[in-house]
Amino acid sequence: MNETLTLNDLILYLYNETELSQTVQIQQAIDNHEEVAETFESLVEARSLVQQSLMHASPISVQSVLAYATLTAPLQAR
Amino acid sequence: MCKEQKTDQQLVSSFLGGDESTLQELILRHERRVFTSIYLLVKDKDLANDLFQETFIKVINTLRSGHYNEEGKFISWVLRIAHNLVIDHFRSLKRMPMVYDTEEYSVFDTLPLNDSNAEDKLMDDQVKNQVRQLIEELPYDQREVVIMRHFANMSFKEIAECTHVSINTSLGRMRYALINLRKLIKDKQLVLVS
Repeated sequence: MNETLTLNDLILYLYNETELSQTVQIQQAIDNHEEVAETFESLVEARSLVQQSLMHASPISVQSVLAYATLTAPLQAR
Repeated sequence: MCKEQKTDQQLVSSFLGGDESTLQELILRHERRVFTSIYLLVKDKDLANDLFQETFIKVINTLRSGHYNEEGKFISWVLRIAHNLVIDHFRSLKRMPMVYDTEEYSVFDTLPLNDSNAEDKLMDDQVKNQVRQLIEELPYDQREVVIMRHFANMSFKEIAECTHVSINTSLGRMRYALINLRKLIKDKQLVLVS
């Protein structure tokens, strides 16, 4: 494993925020080091979890907001 | 023929140009991300719905007043408003939610999910509930960075600026959040859906 690679670098890579040179370096580390690959895989799994947590506002809340938008719209737009 | 979806920026521009109908599209497009972000911070469904309404009323008023800065991402701006309202709420109570991080919450056991979205119907409700509970169990600063990165699409640099910490601190919080989530999955033997 490259000594300069940190877990924060992996996080940046996970969220596609690395520069090109850093991206290449990290991808190589993942490809060549099992420990790095496992760590990265676990981060990927945890990240995917978050996306499963989405939930809806109550329909009443959404309707209230839309009603407010309609009621406060400029007269020419109604 | 499939109609190409307009970007947020195009919808905002249309709205600012007088097309009121685009506002509804913006609200419906983002209601899940905004509501979930608020809910995960306040951990109370009624309060989250109140703050959700306050957020969008502020969004509507700001757009109409012409004070919206079009340089940033729309959803990031909306979630900043939501985040500030959450902070205001806790300030008004003279406490922060992190006090409760270690408490057990059973609200998900009793509250049914709104299943109006076809995509949601395909998901395992039980798993979704468990996932939310896991995120709720994270310390406040970790939850905050997860919400900003995932739902507001803010970069770690933007999150660092918004929360007045270094980028390394932001990254560290996300790192701990993901590691903690993994640990919680393992501890609770949660089976994930792909």
